[in-house]
Amino acid sequence: MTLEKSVKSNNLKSSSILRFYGHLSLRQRLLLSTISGKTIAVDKIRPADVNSIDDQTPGLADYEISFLRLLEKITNGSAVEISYTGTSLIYRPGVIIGGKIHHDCPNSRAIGYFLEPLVALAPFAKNPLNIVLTGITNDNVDPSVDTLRTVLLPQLKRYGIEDSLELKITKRGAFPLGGGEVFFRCPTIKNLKPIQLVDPGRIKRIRGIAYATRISPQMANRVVEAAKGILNRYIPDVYIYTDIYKGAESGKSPGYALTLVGESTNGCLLSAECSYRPRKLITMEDEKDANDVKTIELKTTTKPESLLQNDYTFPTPEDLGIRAARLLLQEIKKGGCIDTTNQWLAVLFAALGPEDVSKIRIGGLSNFTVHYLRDIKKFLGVTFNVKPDLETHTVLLSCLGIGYSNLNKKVN
Amino acid sequence: ASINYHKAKAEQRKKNLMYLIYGDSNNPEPSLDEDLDSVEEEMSDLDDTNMFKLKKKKNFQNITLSAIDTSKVEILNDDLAEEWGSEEFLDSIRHMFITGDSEMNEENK
Repeated sequence: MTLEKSVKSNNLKSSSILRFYGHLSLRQRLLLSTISGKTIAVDKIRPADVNSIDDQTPGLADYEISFLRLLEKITNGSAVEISYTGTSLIYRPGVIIGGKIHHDCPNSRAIGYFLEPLVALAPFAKNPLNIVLTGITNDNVDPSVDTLRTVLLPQLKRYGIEDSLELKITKRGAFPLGGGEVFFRCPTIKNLKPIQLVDPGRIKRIRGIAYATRISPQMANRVVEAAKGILNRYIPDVYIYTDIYKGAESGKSPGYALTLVGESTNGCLLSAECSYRPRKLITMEDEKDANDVKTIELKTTTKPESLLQNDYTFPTPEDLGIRAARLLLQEIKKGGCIDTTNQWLAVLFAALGPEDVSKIRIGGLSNFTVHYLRDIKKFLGVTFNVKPDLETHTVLLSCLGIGYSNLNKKVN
Repeated sequence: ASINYHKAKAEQRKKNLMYLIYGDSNNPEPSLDEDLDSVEEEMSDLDDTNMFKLKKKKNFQNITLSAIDTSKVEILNDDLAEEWGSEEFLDSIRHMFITGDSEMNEENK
């Protein structure tokens, strides 16, 4: 009810536009804008600057435009105004309607980039969301569809979202050509439940998925063996499922990846993942004699985002398996109830929750989460109480929810 | 006295964390690390009306995940190997697993 009033008052005050600068955190601001119904104006999005990176084109990137289009698809009455240069935009959110949607994600970012905000928006839609997304399913920049399926979605159950919740990976798509396809179905709810996630418990089992496409299935097996070698010293209950895709389901590029999930006695899920990506850093000289179509393709898709430090090339599948296992141990060591990648959803839903105190213990704030907390304060007016726990080196977050309720939900 | 000291210290750290996230009236959004600093610096440069500027060659290797809109956090492979390569370190998290319970108690004895 509280938000109902605030949304209305905000619609009346059309002059109250929230202003932001830069392309960082654009996705979460669009998401929060859609949820809160507040219009936003973003300026200086990658301005044409003499200091900017050579490859960087000014204005909105293709994946950001694609995300805006996706928002238009799942809402009714949204208005997006983008300036001629693409360096500023005004977004007036409409009503989240959901329904049956198909969206092709560009190969510059993985499906996770688009799917993450949908997971937060879909429960507040008018109709249940049924969406097919195509593109890259696994890479090292965005959370993979496996992590979203095995960690983020089960988390939704804590808030009361569970009936007919589904994420199906119908086709795999690796960098650079993608070709993957997922189907996501999410029910709508009226209100979120408050959560108290303070005790992480102990890890009781570890599950994982190792997938391989257009590459020897042996790769997946080798990844599994290497990861098990590290994890079995702690616990015998380690089961990693190997998922081999063939034919039309295997996408356009070869690839393999490992996603690991540690499940605790209290049902907390901690995850880590790593995916293989053939990387060739081609210099200008090399480009001339590169007659292979595939290498040219790699070159043209090379953007600053794809030249991240974390784009490790792994000499062997064992290296990838060991890295993923170590990442999981790192995550377990932090002692949080929610893993780093999924902190944002927990803080967002705690802020949107009923007018009751929600408490979460996390293993340490990531920069991404800090930016999220700042934007939550701006859009929803919720300030979290952040308390470090010196004994366990964890952080306790608590807040009073705003009692957000889904006014769009169809009454059956 | 030590309890008070710890309390004071905890209070201070709490304030620091709150400050890091929400800042105060003077500095509403303190920057988080160098990666973001450099981005923000570039942004503020735009306000200047200098027409000519030396073109800074930005090293691609310096772009990390924190400067990109993603919920993933980057951990370097070398850092991982350094920590988790040692047996001692691997053993240090045994108590986080159900199987490691008894060993933890033995250590305490």
